[in-house]
Amino acid sequence: MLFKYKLVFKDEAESLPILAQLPRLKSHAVIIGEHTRYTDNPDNPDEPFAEKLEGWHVDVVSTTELEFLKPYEVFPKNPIHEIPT
Amino acid sequence: MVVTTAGTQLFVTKQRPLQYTIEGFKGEHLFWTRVAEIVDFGEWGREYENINFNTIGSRRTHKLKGTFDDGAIMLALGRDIDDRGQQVLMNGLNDDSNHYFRIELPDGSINYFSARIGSYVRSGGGVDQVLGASTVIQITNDILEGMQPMQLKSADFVRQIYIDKYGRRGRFEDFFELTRLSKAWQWDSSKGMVEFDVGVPRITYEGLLLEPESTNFLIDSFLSSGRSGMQSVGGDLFFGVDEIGAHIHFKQTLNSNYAYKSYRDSDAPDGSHSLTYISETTGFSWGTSSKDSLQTVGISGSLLREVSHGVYSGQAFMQDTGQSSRDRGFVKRPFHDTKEPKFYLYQLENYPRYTSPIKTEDVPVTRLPETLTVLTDSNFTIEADEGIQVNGNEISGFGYIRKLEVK
Repeated sequence: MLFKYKLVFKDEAESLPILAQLPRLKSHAVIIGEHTRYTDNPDNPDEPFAEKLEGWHVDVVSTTELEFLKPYEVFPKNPIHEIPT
Repeated sequence: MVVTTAGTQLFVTKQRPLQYTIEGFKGEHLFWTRVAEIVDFGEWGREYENINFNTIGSRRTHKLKGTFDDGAIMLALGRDIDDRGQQVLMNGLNDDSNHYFRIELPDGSINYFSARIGSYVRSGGGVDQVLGASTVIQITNDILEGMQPMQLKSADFVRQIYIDKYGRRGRFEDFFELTRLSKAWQWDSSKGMVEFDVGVPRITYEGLLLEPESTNFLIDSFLSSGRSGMQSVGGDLFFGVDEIGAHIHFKQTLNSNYAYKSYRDSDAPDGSHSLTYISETTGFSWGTSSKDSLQTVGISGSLLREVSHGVYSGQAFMQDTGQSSRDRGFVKRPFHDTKEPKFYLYQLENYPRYTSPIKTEDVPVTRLPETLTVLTDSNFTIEADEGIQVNGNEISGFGYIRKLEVK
């Protein structure tokens, strides 16, 4: 069983000491970083609406439950990235 | 496979296993001492008393099994009074209790049994003989036959043959641990897109494939091409790349969806990305001529190269993709009446060359890196692609491993 975490940190600096605790080979972090969500602009397809999401985004997958990640978890309604498991 | 006796080892302990089973003999509390300088192991094994029974009517001698004896080992030694194993045998001579033995054989099997030391006789001989001893080890219970754990000697990933140091053929998982915490895919021109579950190795006629982490930024990798996309000069645009201010985002226009990923310009230098199409059709020509099957924009040299059967890939020149010009995109058909190719995958990744297919649906997807751990304490050599790296007993990187040999 794999545990997946969608995390958001205040900024990259805050994420580094947390991600340094990830068990090697038993977990992996995908750094998404800053993220802008684009949605259709029906009036001007060439200029989609841009919505910058707050924070520094990271997805983690792990073979064990990682309690220390829980304070940073978010549950987005529209995920911005996926790790296939 | 037939092997010689050379390398056979005898171990002894006075400590009793918790249970008389193979697992019991593997108990961690047992302290085994190797007996050195053995020159002849003799023979050992159970023998039954034969009971003959002659019947007058049939004239036949009927043979029945009576009592059995688990036998004895007549051990010939070069006498070494400093050897702790031989000391255990000498001290056990006047001890009525059982000793416990383990014999490791060169064919990979192990015999476990209990026995009492029946004799210890010193032998002198002539001037040219080594001072020796012989001892009889009387076996008092079943001889349990187990196997040594597999220890890798060689691996041929192309032929999928894995041999251990005892010549036994094992499975991949007997010798290796592959870590990949995500699914992965591989394109096979005859089987199509093959999906591999988490941790399942991708082994083909080329060997074992290891790849680094990579993300397909296109949000729907398997959308078929169609004419609902943006119009560009002469034909349909399958998807495009826009530049907005200091950021670039990828935009897939096939069904008005967008592939989302923002970069600072410096994160997306020319040639840092690759674009890949996988088609059922081989032999497409790519170029700017109207005679070409497909046109590319923003691709190095305006060309996609067929890197393997039906797999077309090239470096993406991110800086060349402007927002307002006709260069806004990667691939288009020259004319509406150009035969529409059938594609199985569109992939745009932050890697200067094509990695294996990454299936996406609604959001960008990341295939996680692969690490192969070789379950050995010994050094080894590999025959592999240039991108493969070895660090201790871990192998990672990018490419195929074909062979591995333990020294």
